[in-house]
Amino acid sequence: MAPLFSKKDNFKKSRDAKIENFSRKLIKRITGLKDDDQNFQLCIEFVDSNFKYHRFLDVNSHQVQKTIDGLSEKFLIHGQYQKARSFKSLTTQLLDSVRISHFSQKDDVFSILSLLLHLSESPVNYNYTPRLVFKDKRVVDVSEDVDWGTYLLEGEELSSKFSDSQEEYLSDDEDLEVEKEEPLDIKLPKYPPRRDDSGIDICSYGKGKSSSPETPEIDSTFSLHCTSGYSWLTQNIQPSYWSKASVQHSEPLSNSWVSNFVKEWEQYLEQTSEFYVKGQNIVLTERQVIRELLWMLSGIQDLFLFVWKDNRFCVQEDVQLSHLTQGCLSAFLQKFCDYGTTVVKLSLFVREISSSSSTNHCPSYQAYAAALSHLLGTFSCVLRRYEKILIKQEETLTLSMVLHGLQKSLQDIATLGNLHSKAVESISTDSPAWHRAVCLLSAIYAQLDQHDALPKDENESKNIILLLFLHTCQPYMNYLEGIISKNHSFTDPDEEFIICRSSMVSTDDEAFWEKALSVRDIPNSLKKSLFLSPFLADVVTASKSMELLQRTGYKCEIFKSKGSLYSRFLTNLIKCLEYANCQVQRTSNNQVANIETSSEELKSRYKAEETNKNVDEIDSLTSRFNYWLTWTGVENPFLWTNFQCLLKPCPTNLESETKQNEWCHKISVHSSVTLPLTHLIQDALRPLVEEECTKTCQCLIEVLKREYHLSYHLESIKNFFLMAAGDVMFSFCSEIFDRMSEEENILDPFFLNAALEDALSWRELRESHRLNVTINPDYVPQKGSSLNILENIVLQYQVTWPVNVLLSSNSLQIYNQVFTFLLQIKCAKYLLDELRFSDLNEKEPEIDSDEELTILTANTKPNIPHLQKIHGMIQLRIQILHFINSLHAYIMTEVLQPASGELDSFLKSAVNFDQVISTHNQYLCRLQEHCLLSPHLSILKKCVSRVLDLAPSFQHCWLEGAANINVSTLQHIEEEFRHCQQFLVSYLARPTRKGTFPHMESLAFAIQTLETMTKLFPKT
Amino acid sequence: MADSGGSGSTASTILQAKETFEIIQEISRLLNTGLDTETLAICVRLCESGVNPEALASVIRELRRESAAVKAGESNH
Repeated sequence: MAPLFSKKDNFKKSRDAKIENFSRKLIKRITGLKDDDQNFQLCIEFVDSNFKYHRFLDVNSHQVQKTIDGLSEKFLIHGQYQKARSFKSLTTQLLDSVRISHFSQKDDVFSILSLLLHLSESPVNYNYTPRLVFKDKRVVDVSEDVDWGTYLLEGEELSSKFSDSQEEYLSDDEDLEVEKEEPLDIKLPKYPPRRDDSGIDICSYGKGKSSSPETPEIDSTFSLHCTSGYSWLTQNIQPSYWSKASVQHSEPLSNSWVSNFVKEWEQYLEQTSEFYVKGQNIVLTERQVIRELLWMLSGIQDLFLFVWKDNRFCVQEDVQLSHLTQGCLSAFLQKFCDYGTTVVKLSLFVREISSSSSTNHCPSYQAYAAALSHLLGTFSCVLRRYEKILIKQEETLTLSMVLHGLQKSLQDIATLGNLHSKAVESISTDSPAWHRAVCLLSAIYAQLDQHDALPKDENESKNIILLLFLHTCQPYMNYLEGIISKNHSFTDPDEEFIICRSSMVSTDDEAFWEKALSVRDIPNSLKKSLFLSPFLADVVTASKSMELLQRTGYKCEIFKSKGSLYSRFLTNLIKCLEYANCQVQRTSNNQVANIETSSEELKSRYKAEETNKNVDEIDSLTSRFNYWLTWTGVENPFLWTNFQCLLKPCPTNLESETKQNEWCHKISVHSSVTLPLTHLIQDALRPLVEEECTKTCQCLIEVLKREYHLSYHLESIKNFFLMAAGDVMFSFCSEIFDRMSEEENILDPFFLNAALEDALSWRELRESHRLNVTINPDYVPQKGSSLNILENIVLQYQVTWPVNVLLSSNSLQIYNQVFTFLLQIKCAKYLLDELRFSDLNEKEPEIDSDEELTILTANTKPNIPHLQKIHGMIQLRIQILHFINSLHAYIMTEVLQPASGELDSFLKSAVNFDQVISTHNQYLCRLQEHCLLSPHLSILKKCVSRVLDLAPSFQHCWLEGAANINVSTLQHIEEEFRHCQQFLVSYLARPTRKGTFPHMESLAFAIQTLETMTKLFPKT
Repeated sequence: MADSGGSGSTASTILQAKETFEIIQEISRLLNTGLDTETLAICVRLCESGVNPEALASVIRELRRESAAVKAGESNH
């Protein structure tokens, strides 16, 4: 036992001496007192007393560990993540560096840590910057100047330190020996490469320039104490460069002069210019700039680098890169601002249209907005790809690379912006929907046409314009289908279609064809660039036909369509594009098979990609929903079942979406053809529209002919108004003419209708109920025997709908004009034809008194023989009759018969009702013209009427008898006839007039012949 | 703390001791203890010698306070 005590005593003495020695040094270091100072002794006593007689407990490692954790948490709470990381890392390293088996050393470490923790003074407020740099032991240079071993041992010899306790510390030595034999394997913490989202020039966060992976910033154990999200945040946190107050002017890591170009430049400027003042610009990294750029191009307005001001982006002024000066960076980024502004403008438009509150937007605008949204989404996908590259930080990405990569997309955006300003922004929002829709479609179509004219190199945006057009025209195509196809009903609540249906005109109205539908009044420049312009007339005709057909309730089997007009149009367009491509390929000696194969390949690849994408999307949704359920702790099987059901219809939606994307893709593939796309669009649309229109129109014609007896009604009109039914009309007319010759009132409706019924009853015609005769209500009785009285007879023909669309009241009025004119000719002819020679000879002079004899003698030429009188009468009769017969023959054979024949042949070949109506109108005009009923031929008509009016007068003379004839009356008749004859000859048969009325050549010839003959015979 | 000990006094031992002290120094700086390298080395030795760290901390603080008071008094005179 004794040796044991002595050992302990020795150890204690040695330790006390050592403590006293270090205490002295400590006092000297802290207070600066010297050995002989009075206070020094007091200090010694104080320290000794405190060391020996304190009231503190021994060091508790758990307590120390707890304090360390608490302190690091405190750092985190104060947002001093770097300090927390460093502290945690340092303490962990310190504890790890001590051998676990070496208990005493571990206690020492905890003692030291405890001491430091007790001595710490508000570490939170201390501005700490890490200085420590760890180096691998294997590369350490042992021949450093500082001999740390000697320094720490303070000149003590280890052998003498514990000279009497070798055995006690033997284990230490053994450990050391073992350690010596082991390979150097110091567990340096494996720090992940420092996260730096800031760019290619990785900036250090502090003043130190090191960024080697050995920098003890992130400790693996540290993450154990933090939530995963928090850890993620700490690893991905970005220095808040957007807050100018907290921005750190970090130095680029690379020492390359390229990376420090701005610094070099500023140094140069400082050296060369006395007045140069260095600006306080914020130095960003290129990655930060790219990120801000991508955000701006995505349409985000609240950015640091790009300021949204006065409805446009501009570059923040006091920003520079380490290798690009402020001016250079600003100039470089300025061109992106325009694209960003365009994207924002388009996005705002899409948002405005999509918002449920907006009711003022027509379907075309909505379709346009949807197309824009689709294109912006595609652009956004491109941006996301770059953003992913930025986030992964596995590839180098520079501004110039981004610019190069986005060149095509930015060109598309610029094209869209230009187009948008032309198609939408330049149009007043107060203008009617149809005007806005037409302007929109015309602008897109005109742009497409304009791009067709460009060379292929400058024509890359043609594809998106075509897609935009095809999306935007869909509502118009639906309207078109609704208006010309029987299976759809035309509804245009927004009044945006170019064809409008007048609400004032009903289908039953006889003015339906003229007034029901009309093309809206748009400027020709707009109409020209509207893709429907070539078909508008056909469409209007077809739509009117369709409405009539629908009104008839006729069901036609041919209207079973093979799909919507829009889908068929797309199919046709794709075919046209493919065909055009094939043609181009053939000309360049490439095989068509290659195209088809590549097309098929693309198609199959596209389909596969789409399918995979859809499956991925569903998987992603399911997993997210699962995660959400787990996270919220909701265990609800019904909710899960409902979610599954919700996903079920997705494939069908996706299918239709895929279908639409498929044609988009096909069109994208083929739209690079050199042929003008506008022509291809027309080629694709024309057959469809024409087919629909022809189908509808022909169906109406058939229905009108078969069900509504259109041809029969026209025939009836010809029979009665144009007196083609000679026997019936002769019977009717002769009744009237007889009454006229007897100088009775013919304008008696009862008499006229009875005469008509009698005439019709001979042939038992079924139109008897349709025909009736009335008197002109404006008729004023006049004295005299003019045939003009016949013009007051109005023959009426009852026409039912829809035939009244063709045989309208106006048409019937013209027919009636022809009828009354014919009536006059026939009347004159009848009156002269019915004269008997016996009537001329039978009557003796009726003289009752001497006065009458005197008058008679005065009026008649007593020296004219009786036979000469008769001869003169007969001669005049023949002349007038010849004229009337020529006129009658001209009207009946030269005018009515050929015109009717032509009308019949035209009606047989007419493909639509519009043609029927126009042909009929032309026919009526021709009748008017040729029957001298046109206003510009009124002088001829008057002349002819005067000749015709001679017939009743002559008849009266004739019936008086040759003996009682009034020679002056006869001479007057003859003179009147000759004057009229001469006028007509001069008007129609003069060489200078020849060719003016080609249809009246025969009449002119007859009159001229008559005049010649008249000249041969002397006057009566 | 780091035995550079006897026969096993090798470069690695020295390196370890050096690194350990560097870590301690860095922690001291981070915690704003106000100890310079020499004072810290003395403190480490004292702790290794068995001095209670809390007592040592209390002594250091007291010495600093007194020293500051003395210096302040001297400067006032």
